[in-house]
Amino acid sequence: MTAADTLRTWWWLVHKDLLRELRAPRVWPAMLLLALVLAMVIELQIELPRQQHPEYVGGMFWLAAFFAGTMALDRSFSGEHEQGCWQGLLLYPVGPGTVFLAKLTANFLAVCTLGAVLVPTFMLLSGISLLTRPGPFLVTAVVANLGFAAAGTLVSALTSSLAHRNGLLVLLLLPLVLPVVLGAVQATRFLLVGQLDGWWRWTQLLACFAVVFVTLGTLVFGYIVEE
Amino acid sequence: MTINEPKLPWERAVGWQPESEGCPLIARQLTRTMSGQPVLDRADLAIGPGELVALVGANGAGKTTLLRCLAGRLRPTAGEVLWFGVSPKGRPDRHRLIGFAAHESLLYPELTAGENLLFAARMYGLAQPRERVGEMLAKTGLARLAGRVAGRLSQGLRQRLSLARALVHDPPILLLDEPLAGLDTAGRAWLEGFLSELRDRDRAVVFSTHDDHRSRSLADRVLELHGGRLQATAECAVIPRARSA
Repeated sequence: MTAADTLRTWWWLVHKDLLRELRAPRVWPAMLLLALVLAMVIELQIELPRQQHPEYVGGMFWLAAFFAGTMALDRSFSGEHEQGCWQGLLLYPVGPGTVFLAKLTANFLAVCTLGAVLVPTFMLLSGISLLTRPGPFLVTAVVANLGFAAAGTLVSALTSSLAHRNGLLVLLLLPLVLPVVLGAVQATRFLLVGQLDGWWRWTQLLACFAVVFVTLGTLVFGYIVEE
Repeated sequence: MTINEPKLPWERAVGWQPESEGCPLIARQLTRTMSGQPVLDRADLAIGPGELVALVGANGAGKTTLLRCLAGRLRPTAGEVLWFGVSPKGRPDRHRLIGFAAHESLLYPELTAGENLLFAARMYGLAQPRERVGEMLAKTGLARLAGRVAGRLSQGLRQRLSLARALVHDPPILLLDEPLAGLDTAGRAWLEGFLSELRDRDRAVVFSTHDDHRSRSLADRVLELHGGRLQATAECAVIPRARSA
């Protein structure tokens, strides 16, 4: 299989996931609603002096994003198990790494959409602009979401075929993505207080995490889904 | 065209030569245990091209496990599966050789019949997927239902679509788990005709069934599974037929 064939297959796998979600939304609406509720509860319950807002708004933003994003990751494989579709998918002449990358892409798009909804929500509720430096913020968001989606896709694949899987993803994922949560919170905080060297350090950590988990997932996915 | 020249897409893909290779499907001492209990116990079988083999047995006898091992989806605890003399282990590209229809439909309920087949055709990397999908929909009598979502099809029609999905890439080996289940008389007659046509086109077909009587009238060979053991096995008796130029 050539690189072009692999790329085409990857695209049709992503296309299929997006088309299914469009036809019968089961993940995105619930995830977005949870994120909005979290954002409102957090913002309305915490009362801090105005000058301290840039210190905490990044943390609150990422907390809401990762909690709600976990819902998308948890359900990313459950739809495949209906009608034995997962069996069918793994019987195609497609490398398991390609399947992992396609699932990762769909999850990455879901958490990015979540971020796109949460940014204006937090800006509206807190009165703090998260986009004072849109370029660096976008870089942080991309690498944080990529690392989170990669680790989540891997753990979701691991738990999806288990009979007693309820809550297992959260239990395994949250400790695993702790570096991403810390990295994203710190990078955003440094960005909002104007310390770009601090932002760069934490963003590098996020990038490393993303590279490690995308590579690891691509390599071990075949072993994880083997029966 | 010489006799050795690849004629079908999968022959070209795997470099298959009609008289140089043995049986399309061979299982040697295939064993699968679950929680220490053998679900499949040292199964040996060989299926030749153009051979229609029925797999019969009670519930829990190991039919589905055997079919899933033969399809390369389930890793055997011991023994091996060979497709045209080569193990499929770690070779996803060789999955082109297999068509698999499970007891479940393997269809995405939110996608239409046409979209399900088109997705499968694209996964198999077919050069003209839309043309092939149209052909398969016509062959399975589903052309007018191409735009209906799979989840709204009746069980019989879903069964046909599932079979079309398994055959979209025209594989030389076809594994069907309970294909007769849930079909009415007309559906069964259609399926039997379809399987006979596949046999005439030199496809190696293995199907599981509870219907012992019907399977004996349809199949070339019947294999019985009892507690994971194959009771009636035979070596591959069918020598690959030479194709005319």
